Amino acid sequence: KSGMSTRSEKDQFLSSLGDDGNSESWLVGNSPQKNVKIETGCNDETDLVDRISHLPHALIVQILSRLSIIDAFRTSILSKDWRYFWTAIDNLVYDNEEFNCSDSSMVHKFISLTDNVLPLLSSSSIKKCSLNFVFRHNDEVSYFPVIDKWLEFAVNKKVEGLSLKISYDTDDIENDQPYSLPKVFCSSSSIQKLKCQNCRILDDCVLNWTSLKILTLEDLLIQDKHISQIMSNSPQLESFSLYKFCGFNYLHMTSPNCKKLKLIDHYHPTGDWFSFEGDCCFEVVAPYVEHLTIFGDFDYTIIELKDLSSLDHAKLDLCSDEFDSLDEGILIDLLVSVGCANELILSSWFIKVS
Amino acid sequence: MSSSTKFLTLKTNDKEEFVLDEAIAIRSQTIKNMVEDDCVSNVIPLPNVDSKTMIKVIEYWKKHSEEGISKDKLMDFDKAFVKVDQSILYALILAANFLNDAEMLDMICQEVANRIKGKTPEEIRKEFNIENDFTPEEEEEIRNENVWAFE
Repeated sequence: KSGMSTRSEKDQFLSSLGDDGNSESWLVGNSPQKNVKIETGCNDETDLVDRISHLPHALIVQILSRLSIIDAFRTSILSKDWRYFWTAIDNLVYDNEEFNCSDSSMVHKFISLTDNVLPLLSSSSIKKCSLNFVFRHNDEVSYFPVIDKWLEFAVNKKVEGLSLKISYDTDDIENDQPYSLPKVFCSSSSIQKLKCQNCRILDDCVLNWTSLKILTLEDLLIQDKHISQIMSNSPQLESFSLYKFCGFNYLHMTSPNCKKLKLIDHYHPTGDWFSFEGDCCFEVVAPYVEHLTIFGDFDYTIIELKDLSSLDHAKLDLCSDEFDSLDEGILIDLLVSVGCANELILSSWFIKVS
Repeated sequence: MSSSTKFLTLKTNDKEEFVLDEAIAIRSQTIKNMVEDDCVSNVIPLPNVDSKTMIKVIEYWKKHSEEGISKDKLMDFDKAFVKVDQSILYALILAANFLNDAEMLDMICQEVANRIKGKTPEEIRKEFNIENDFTPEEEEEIRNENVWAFE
């Protein structure tokens, strides 16, 4: 049996596809490649064929796009064929948690990476960008201008999905300023899915993510005006999640497409963020939300649930270290507010109350 | 099965024929386009796929078309599915690309990426039998230019 197709069969097939030249597979299939015989089921241990280098370029790029940017870059030294494959990747992953924490040259490495790698990336658009930075307290150089460069690069490349996580390897972050999102990033019109952890939204910043569909914000203080900017400037927003958040009094979910709301852990962030005194209180008006989750730690926090007239599925599983800090009246009010849900998941705490 | 179930015959490059429920076969965007353009009269030739690879592809399609199968079960299936020799993996990657099955292609690309991840250039060359055609001087130069990446 022949492992190869004959020329005439291939021509026949190509013509049978008609003029449908926009299929991605054909674009890939037609890219220049060395003709290599692929035998399957050949388990011979002496089989030392280099198959990966002979894949169509577009497939090699797809594989490299699933690696961290450093792993992708390192393939440039494998052979002459591999010198520039990595430059076409459309998914950027940087995660310095992978490296040794005690390595003080980390920040310099990161700056070298930024200066050497970003200018070489040739893809006209970036689908996803995932950045995970762990700050060392004793780093002398600030990462912030370098993170700015990455975010600006991502915005210029019309990034669709972005995940930015910043954390510290020490508890002593009193002297550290949280990273502020650059203004250019706050008006990205391409971003559809954004996850952002431990960043600050500057007071004079206008959030104008016009294509945004899924938003997850974690470890942050978010003001009322920024919430209302999200609601009015992101009409396609479908899902909004806040983790370890604080800072607003009104959560008015006025976007009719936004059907999912998650509120998880109410925190008072430390650092230079102004300190809070006394209780926090916010109201939720969400007439279009169908899925509501309120979960976790809500010490000294009063949540007033108002209009939830589209509610279908609600999960209330909040707790408090100080058992008395949420009083029964508030819990009963919460229960009444979610009364129209078809499905209700409650923590045992509520059941005691009712 | 409902009386409206349609079957397609797929013919691989080693002349084997596979009769498959159309609903399953159109997981391939390439086949789907052909069906929609009404250019399938009897047998669909697959000149870039051999029968051994097609058996694996159909195994994948059938499992992923099972009704009510749990996500966990599919994940276990996928994990086992990609635990194959490189030769089979590359045949699958080319087949998934030709058949234009984005989900399967994604999974296999991820598996190849996992086999590269965290390895030194020397280890990657060994794993994939890539011949280093740089002279020692050339390689040294690239390493020196990018000390941050290779130390």
